[in-house]
Amino acid sequence: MAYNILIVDDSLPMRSVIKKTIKASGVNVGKLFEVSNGRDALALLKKEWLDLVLVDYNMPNMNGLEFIAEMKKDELLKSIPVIMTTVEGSRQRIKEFIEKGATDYIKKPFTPEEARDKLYKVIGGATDGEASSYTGDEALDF
Amino acid sequence: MERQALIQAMKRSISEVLETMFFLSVEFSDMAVAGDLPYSEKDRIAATRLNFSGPFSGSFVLFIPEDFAVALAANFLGKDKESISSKNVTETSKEIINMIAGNTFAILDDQVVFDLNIPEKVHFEESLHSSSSADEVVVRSNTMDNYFVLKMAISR
Repeated sequence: MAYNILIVDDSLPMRSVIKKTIKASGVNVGKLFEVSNGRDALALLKKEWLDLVLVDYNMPNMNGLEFIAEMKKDELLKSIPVIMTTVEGSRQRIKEFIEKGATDYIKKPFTPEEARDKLYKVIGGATDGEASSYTGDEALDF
Repeated sequence: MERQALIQAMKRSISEVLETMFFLSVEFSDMAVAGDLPYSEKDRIAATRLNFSGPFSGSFVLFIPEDFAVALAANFLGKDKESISSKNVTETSKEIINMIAGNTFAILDDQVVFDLNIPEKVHFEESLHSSSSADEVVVRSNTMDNYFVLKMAISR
């Protein structure tokens, strides 16, 4: 199964790094979309079938939590897994992310392996473990 | 907040960000105040600021020589230096200060919450000197062939 993935981040360099990480992760990617803000992301989600969203927390106008709140209001979008990408390291803030609907989080800075493990954890969980034949020991370079 | 604890957290944060995201190792040297930066280089140093609030409030300012900022942006984007735009440089500098700030606070105490504002590009001169109502902590980071300076100004 190929997964359609959306990256939402106001930083072009960070979107670039996340794209490289996803492509190198071994996840079977169908379409890989990227947008720079929550509003464009919501519009895209209503047009395209998405299996996973990675959203930055600290964005202008609509932050990651506000974006998730908008997704949760929509019956068709509310079950799509969301990984929050964030520089936040506070346990309280991370707990808040999960309580308010994030499936998991990736803390920046991250190693390719850390990001890959989170991707597999979330996609695997969302598809009853049929994500791929990932064994956890493949080399992964940016 | 104890000054030495802040300095150690900033150094560790810088090392983790540079090593993890850019595969660069850094060494540190003492620098009393950001005002010690050579004024003659003001036209070739990019400054980026991030304001924060929490148990204490203030700002981080990152000073990076333009040529180093271009190299970091090229590294991050996986492009040649020649194809890097000024927007790429600004966005990469913002991402670096964002990661360093968040990581510094996580290292200091992961039980407390700090709110980080959106980073912004600022003028070298206006960001060099902290106000008289702020305490300043400065770390200079050196790579093989370049350097950058991180200042944290804490409001009293």
